[in-house]
Amino acid sequence: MLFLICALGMVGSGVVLVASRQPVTAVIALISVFLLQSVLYVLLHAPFIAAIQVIVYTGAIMVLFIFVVMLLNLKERQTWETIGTRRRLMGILLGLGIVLILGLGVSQITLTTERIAEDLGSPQKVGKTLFDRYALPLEMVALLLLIAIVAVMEIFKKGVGGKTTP
Amino acid sequence: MVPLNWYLLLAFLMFTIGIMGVLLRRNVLIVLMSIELMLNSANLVFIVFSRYLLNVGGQVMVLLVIAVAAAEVAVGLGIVVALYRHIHSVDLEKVNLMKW
Repeated sequence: MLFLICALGMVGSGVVLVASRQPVTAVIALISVFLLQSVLYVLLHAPFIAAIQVIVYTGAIMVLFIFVVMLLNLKERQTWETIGTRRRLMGILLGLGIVLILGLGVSQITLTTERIAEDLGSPQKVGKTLFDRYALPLEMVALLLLIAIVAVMEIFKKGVGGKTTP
Repeated sequence: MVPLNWYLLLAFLMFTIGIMGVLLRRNVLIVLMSIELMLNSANLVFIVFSRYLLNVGGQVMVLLVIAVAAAEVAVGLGIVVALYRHIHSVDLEKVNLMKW
């Protein structure tokens, strides 16, 4: 089934992301996670969000990551890293514990529906709901984007005397 | 039809992989990408419940979360580049001036 292919691909790419030595490999793995997730969104009657995910998440955010990875131009010896075995063991145990608890919680859920709304994820419906009920969060996110632009410009602003601000 | 539990299990698995990436890696770019992985798994949960409860508000929320993630990545990568200019490394263990 398509879900199993996407799920296995996503989990495999996630493990590659977390365990890879080179940052470019990790970026490609994350891109594949996003594209497979977009396929899942189409399966879940959300074609508009799937398109937005490909355009914005994969096409803008990951490209930004690739820019930064290429800009920093990390050498191999800089990306080699060691985590103490005790910290690594604690991290793995924490991960297994979280999966165990969440998995036990998830298995208790019994929620099925046979109804299908054909236009649930259509751009018309998403846009109408966005501008009708959720107009305030929309305006707040627009303000947040403006704040992000100002913040990045402030980080890289040079002082009046010509010296860079730390 | 795929049961709801499978989607949620996949989302929680991706979330846990993201958490382990944040905890077990010292490269700040990998940590930022693991944070994006966690946000992505939360988006999946939103879409799944939007489909199973037939409420389009979940998809609207995902739209806003994607916008917030874009802003966060922009600022985070700006900080990474500014940090690299000072310490010439992306190792998080080297960012320790405020440690006691």
